[in-house]
Amino acid sequence: MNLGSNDLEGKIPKCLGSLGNLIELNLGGNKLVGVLPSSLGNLSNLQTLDFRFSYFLTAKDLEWISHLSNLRYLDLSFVNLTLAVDWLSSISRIPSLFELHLYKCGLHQVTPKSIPHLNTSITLKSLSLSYNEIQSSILKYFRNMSQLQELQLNTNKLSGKLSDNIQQLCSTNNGLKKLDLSNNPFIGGPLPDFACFSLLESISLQNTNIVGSFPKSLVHMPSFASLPLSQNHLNVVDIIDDTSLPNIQYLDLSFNQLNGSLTLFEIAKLALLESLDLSHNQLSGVDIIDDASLPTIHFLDLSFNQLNGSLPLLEITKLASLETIDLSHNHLSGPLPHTIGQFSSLKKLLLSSNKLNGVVNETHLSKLSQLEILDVNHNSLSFNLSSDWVQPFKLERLYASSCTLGPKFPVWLKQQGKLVNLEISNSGISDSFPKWFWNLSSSLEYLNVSHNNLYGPLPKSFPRMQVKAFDHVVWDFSFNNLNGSLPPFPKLVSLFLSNNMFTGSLSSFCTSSSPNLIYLDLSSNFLVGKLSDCWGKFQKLKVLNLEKNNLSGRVPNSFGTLKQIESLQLNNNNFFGEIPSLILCRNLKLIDVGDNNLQGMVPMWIGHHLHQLIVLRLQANKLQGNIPTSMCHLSFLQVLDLSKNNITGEIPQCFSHIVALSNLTFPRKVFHYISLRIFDTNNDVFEIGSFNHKVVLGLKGLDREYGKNLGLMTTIDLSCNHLTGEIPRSITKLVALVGLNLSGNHLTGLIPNNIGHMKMLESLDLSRNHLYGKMPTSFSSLTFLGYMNLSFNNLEGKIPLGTQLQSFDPSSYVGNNRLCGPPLINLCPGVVISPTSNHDKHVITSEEEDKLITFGFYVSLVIGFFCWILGSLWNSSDKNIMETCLFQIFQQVE
Amino acid sequence: MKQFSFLFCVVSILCISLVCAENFHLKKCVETERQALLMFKESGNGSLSSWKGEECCKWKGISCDNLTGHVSSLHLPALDYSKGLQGKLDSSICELQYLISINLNNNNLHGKIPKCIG
Repeated sequence: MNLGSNDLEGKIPKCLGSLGNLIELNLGGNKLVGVLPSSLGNLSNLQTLDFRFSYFLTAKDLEWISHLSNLRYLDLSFVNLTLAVDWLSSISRIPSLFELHLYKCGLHQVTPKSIPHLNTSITLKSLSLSYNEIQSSILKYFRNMSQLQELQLNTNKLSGKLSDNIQQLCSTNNGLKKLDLSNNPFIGGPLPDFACFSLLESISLQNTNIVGSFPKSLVHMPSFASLPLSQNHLNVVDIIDDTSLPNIQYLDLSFNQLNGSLTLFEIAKLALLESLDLSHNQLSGVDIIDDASLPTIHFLDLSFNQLNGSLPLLEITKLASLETIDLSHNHLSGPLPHTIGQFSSLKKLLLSSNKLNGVVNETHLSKLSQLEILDVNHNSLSFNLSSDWVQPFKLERLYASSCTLGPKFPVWLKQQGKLVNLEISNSGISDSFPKWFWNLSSSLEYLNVSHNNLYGPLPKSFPRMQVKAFDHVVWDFSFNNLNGSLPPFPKLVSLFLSNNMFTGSLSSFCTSSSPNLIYLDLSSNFLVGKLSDCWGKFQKLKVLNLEKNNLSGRVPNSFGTLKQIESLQLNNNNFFGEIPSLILCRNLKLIDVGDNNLQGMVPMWIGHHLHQLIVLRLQANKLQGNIPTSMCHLSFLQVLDLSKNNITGEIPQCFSHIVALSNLTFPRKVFHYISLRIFDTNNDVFEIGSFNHKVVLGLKGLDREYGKNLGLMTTIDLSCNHLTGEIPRSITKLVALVGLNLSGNHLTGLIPNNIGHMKMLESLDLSRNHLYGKMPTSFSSLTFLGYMNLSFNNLEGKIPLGTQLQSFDPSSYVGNNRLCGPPLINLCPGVVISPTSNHDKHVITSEEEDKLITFGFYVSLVIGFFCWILGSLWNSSDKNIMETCLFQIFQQVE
Repeated sequence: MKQFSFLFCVVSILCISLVCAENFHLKKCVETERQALLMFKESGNGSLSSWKGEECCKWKGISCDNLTGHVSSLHLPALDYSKGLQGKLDSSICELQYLISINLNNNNLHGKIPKCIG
């Protein structure tokens, strides 16, 4: 019976146990719940029992399983066996089991009592216990399994020295071929030689804690072929002279601490090596000794090291069969050596993110007839290929960002009709698109020509695309000078057209665009007119950026149907009317509709429904009403900008409930998107088309664009509204807040005493309110404060002492006529300066030199006092006049 | 002893007549099972369009016992999950009492495993 991989629900009927003739039972990959019935033990003829991927099934004990005397294949992967402490003793009583898979079953350590002498299960050939919590003491029970060929113990809690673990597994007749001990970070010690496994073909030791260097005689087995050792702490490559790996084909030493200069090995030692991965180490160089030769190597990965100097001199005689060479993310400099052109088998040449410079010409590439991928992204190479040179290769992917291909559009590309990926961004091209370019390749999945000076219009229509999968197609034309109206684009997933000079309306954009769009960026162009209410068709849209255009009309209601949307940027346009309801857009993390003419109340539904929201920017509109207390439900909210509206009422007390602002250890999300991931044949992932969101935030008195760091920002800006009442004391619980701006409101009362609790504050602006009373002494513990403005309030008394507070310009305190003490010049009453120390003397002398100021200062003090008396008699509406008057006097005096 | 041989005789005759009766149905689908299969088809909306007509033993994925004509195996695994059978695993399959083998791997069936299956 095979009902596997369906969506069956409910419990397993106990009566299944009455099917006594059943040979095979497969119910895996369903949504079955409950306990595995022990009646299954009656299926005495069963040979195959498969419950894998049954995430909701459990077993309290497995005693019944020992009755399945004919069972050969057993897979209970993902079944919860946490309670089945008898799993090992029960399973080991099955006499003829060949294959056992117990992947991620919650298996714990077995107490020795529950294990009988395991004389049975000696037939087992393959045993997988990956992703459990098994400890090393279990290993000795596997010793009798003389038929065992494959043992997977990866991702468990094995511990101790590797050599001890190996020793426990050793027995006289050990036929083990594959052993996986990877992801057991508590296994340590040096690498032993695996002498007791004479038939071993591969041993996986990634992400263990093996230290030290290679043993001098590692493996002598004739069949040993694979050694993945990545993510360890190996630090010396000492395999030149003494280490012998005569049959090894696959050697992975990536993610270790190999350092120094690597000497490529002698022919006799690695004669059969096909794949060598040394990426993600700290190697500084590669030496090739004279007789080194890797005649069969086809994959060599040295990426993410510290290789410096010029490219290693690669000799064709030594590495003749090389197909892939990856030297990306190093510090290699100088020109591309001509010898590279002799590797006629080379398919992938990956050199991105180095400091290579100089010219690439025909001689470099003339023999590379197999070349498919050329990645020289982020180098300074200059391509000088003549347009009539017949290229021997047909590239599938060319990445040459930051290299020089211009100023004319590179004509040699005309022959590359098989291109699937083309990245020539920031490559100094100052030209219009040639006509042939659009017919070059019908399968251009990734095109990035951004950051050039391409001008002129795009073609009126694009030829039909013939790509393998339409869910990959990404085109990026941003940061050029392209103009004209937007043509109908082919089926794209991502379209980036920002920072060009495109004109015209978007009225036909919906109808002509693909519903597959996920990322759409049309920002910073000259697009005009209303948006049609047709956006519901883009149900996959995650990111929509229309900022900095001249779009007008109402914000379409159909935005409210975009269930996947995470980021909506409509700021700096001329949209008017109310913000349409977005309550279905529950994935929204960023809303920026600032700098428009939007009206109506601050929407209540934001707080009730958009619980993922991190950035909410509604600034510079005409919104009115109170700040809804529902905002406090937004536990991820990090940036709230409601400034420059007509908002009234008080600041909600409950702001302190916003977890992202009140919890210092709250995990911050980074607004980083990768619009295209390409999975390569070697499971390498190319991540291309990555971008960050950018949002303008007012901080420290300046408006700045925050991109990469946006996810780390925590700010509240309520400035320039009509807020009244006091600053809620609870606001000081927002200890993760970096910026707080409440300026330009009608706030009264005292500054909360505990303001010093907000230790992360870098920017505080409370200016132009009616705050009174003393500055709390806790101010002095705000050690990160780099900008503060308390001007034009009614604060009084001494400015607390603290290096920060005295370093601010006096203008930060201006308009608070009764504030005194440094950095203000007016001294507090009762403070006597005793000219004792030299330092003080000097200060006083310098003050005495400018007697006018001192004199004027006292005059202003007197006038100010009178003004204050007058002001307290006047009603509050006249206060501004008084302040202005005071300010003028103060300036004059200065 | 006489009683025993009489009983044996009766049983033998019964058996022979039963076999004859079964032979009568040779290669012809059992109507109750055909109805059950049609119920199974109704419950889903997969690719069972070929399931029509009288001779259910020739329907896709069905094989019958050569002697008895009873449906003996139901073999409809889906290679592609998206093209598999949809709908509930109907208890109508319990009418197929002579099933030896059932393989509905990798389909899109939901619902509980019918209790009668034991």
